[in-house]
Amino acid sequence: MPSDTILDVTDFSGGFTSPTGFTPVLHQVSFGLRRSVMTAIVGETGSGKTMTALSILGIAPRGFTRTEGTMVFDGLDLVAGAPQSFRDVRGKRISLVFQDARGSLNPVFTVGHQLIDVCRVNQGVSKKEAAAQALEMLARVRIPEPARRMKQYPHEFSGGMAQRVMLALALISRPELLLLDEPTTGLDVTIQADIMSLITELVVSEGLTACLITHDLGVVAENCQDVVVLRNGRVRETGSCEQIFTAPQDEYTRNLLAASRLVEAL
Amino acid sequence: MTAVVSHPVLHVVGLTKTFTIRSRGRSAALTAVDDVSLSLAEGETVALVGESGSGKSTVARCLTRLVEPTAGSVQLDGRTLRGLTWKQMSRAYKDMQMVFQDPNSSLNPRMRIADVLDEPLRLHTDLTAAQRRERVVQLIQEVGLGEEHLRRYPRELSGGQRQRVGIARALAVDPKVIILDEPTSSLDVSVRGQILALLARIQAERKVAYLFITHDLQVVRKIADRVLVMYLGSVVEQGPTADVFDHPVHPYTRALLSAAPVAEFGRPRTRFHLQGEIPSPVDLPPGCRLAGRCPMTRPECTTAVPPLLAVSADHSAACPPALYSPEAEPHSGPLPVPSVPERP
Repeated sequence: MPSDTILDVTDFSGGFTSPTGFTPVLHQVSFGLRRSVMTAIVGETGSGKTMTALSILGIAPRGFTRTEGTMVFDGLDLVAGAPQSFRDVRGKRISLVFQDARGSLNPVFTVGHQLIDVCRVNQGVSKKEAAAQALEMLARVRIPEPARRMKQYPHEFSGGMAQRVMLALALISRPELLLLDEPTTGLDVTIQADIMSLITELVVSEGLTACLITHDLGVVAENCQDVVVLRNGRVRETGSCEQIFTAPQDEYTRNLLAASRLVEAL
Repeated sequence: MTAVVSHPVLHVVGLTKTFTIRSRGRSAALTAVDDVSLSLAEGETVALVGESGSGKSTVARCLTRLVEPTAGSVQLDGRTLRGLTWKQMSRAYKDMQMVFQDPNSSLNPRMRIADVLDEPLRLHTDLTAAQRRERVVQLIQEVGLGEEHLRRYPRELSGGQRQRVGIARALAVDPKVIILDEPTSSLDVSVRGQILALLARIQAERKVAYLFITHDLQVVRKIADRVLVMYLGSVVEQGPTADVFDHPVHPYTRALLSAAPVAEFGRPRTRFHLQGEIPSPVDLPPGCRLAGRCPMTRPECTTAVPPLLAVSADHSAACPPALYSPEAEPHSGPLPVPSVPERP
């Protein structure tokens, strides 16, 4: 029987080991991602939000070590298993969209090539079938003239269009969980609004679970249902979007909201 | 010359900057700033807003002569800045200072904070070393840091502290105008609020005028007296902040304001949509810059650039009233102009 949550993070702690010692960055982080819901992980610089996301995929940078806690994805323990057991999950059932889209795409291959690659690796289909899927995916993320764009290189795309390509790359493996690490940071507000409405629409139409990592409470208020507030590697508050925005319990959440709205904290 | 009450400290008329770019043996004109006029009164904050490619940062760079404007006149405190020698210029620039977006790259990593703040004093004033030292201490305290920070290097400070140093450096020579180019956009929201409060306090005490360049509409609403909205090098709407925010007229302003997210739960949102993305500013077709993206585009929009027309006393927009009045219907069917070439 499928549980209500697709991912459960329990007491997850970890930090960086360096010659000078151990610096903890995550302290007993616990939260769950409800199925078919967009959850936001909100925090400022150094809150550990990106480290949490990278740990879910097992791609935390070298030097980061987990000290305790578990991450369970759909009944599968993501931290206990061998790295190979990750491979069926990483990039396939869980996809990630990075902040800097143009920097995350491979500059020497056309976007079509990159989409076809991902599709073939994950689904083992023929090149022709993969090309057809890639074309369809570019159309779904509403890139105009997808057939022509398939043959173009990342530098020929604007920031907003490149982020659509990233989304297509993340979605072509038909994931169940989509992690979005600051997907609209650095984009203009009109483009940001277009990308976010595309994301929410795709999440609904595909029945995806999404986890949006962001520092922008405005984007959270308009797109997410659940919120996890992180600060200095600790979960300060979790709740529904309505709870967090209308009746925040934690003092830090209240201050963050006040700062986002540019009003004095209560 | 006797100063009038509304005497502007900074008066810019017809500022234009055209870059010539060459690609594949062909040269083309890129008009980054097109006929921008603005004025700044003592103690006033004017915000220049727009998205990437709108030319707002080029305006700042033309004003500070980091790039040479192609045309237009700039008057600082009643003094024309054109045709001055570099020496005269540097003296004039004592009255206009700049705070940059990225405090990491705009502070010399090899200079202690004390030296960062001492440098403008050494260049622009006749103070003795002892007087300068005293002034540096005053400055660091004025921006909410302590004497202990003076011995440190920029890398030993946080982003917010570095931006405070950037502000202190601009204040050192007691300027009349400070140009702030996205001063809060690389900072966390909690730090953003502190920096804005600091800027407001400094302005109340010193009566300095701010030209605030930003894409953060919330910041504009909070601190600006007046706002200029730019799109592809031109000012498309300008007026008192409350008028522009509460009654935006130009389709681009409406699109911009309606796209900005607000941290309120359940706030109904009605977006004003534009088609596609901002086109390349190279070899622009004649007519309104927004033609082709705007749902109100009429054939006449594509023949000439619409001038700024008064909406009310201080509020003007570069869009004829027939297009934005409540009776105006969005154009149905295909838009009269072919889609503009996409941005490379």
